[in-house]
Amino acid sequence: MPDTPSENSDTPATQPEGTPQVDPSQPVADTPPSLSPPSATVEPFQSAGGPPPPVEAPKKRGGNVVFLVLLLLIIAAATGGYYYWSQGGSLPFLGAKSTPTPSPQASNTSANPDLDTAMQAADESLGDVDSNLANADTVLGDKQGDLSE
Amino acid sequence: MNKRILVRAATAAVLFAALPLSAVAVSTPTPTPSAAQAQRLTNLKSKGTAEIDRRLANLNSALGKLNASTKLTAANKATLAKQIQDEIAGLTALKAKLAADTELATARTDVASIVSDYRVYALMLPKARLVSSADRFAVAEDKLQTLHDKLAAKPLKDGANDVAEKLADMQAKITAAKTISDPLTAQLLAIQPTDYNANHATLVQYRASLKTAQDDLKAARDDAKSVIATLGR
Repeated sequence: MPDTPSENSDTPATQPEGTPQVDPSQPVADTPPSLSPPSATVEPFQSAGGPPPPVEAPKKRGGNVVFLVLLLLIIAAATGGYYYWSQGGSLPFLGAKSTPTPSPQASNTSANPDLDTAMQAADESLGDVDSNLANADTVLGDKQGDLSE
Repeated sequence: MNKRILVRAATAAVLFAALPLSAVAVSTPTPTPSAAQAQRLTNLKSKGTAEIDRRLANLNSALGKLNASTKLTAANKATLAKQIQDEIAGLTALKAKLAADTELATARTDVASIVSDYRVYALMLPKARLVSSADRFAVAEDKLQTLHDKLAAKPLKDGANDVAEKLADMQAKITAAKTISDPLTAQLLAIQPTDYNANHATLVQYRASLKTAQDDLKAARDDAKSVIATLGR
């Protein structure tokens, strides 16, 4: 069994040692406040009533805050830079264009479908020329191992 | 003393063991000149037949591809097909003649003609490819000309001063490519094995001409892209 009493235990919780017993019949004001025994460590300045000494800890905390702010600024700048780069160098809050400008090629696709078709046909026929010439080069260089030809 | 006896005995044993070999060597009949010639004739006919078969297989394959091609003009296709069929017929006849040869000298001449009279690998197959390529040039030139005409019909915007210059260059490049490639097919089809025998570099110059025409067409395509980009601004 554990030594700690459970909630359902019938045993009343014992008062902690050193806690003064308060009589309910006595007025509270008359009862002198009972203090816990003094600590073994005594702060000399407080006891002496002098001003509190300059503490180093708050200064260090301020340095950490500055460092954190700087870190956040760097992260924000990097994120902004990446956004700037990904948007093709135009930030939405600096320019009038909030959406990326479509490239001329993209506008051509919608503006001149007949030109796109003609261009595609020309490209395909040039690709056909390229592959045919490559095949011709292969056959030209291939003597089937017959050096006499 | 014993050592000397042992050496003599070993020598005698080796000589005795070699006796059957010398007997066999002596008994092997030396081939007569006529038998050697017959063997050489057989070997030559065998090699010649294999070379003819190899060429026939490649020519038949090329003919099959040519017949299946949809991009050659009908006239070029017919001319090229006839040339290939003529080579197939000639080589088939030569194969039969070689098989019937009884003289070594005749067989030698026939085997040499497999190469010099037909030039299957050095001329016919590359020629067929180059003719096919030349026809592709005609198609590409037509497509680029169509593109040029469409671009020329577009109204020019302000600040597009270089469009006219690019279009003029495009037209010049298309015309230059046509000047090279148009007569090329006929010139290629006219080349015969005898022409190749006289000049082995005959196909190389045509290939170089096609390269020039190819560069012209690519430049024309680049001009068209530049014009489209300018018009789209």
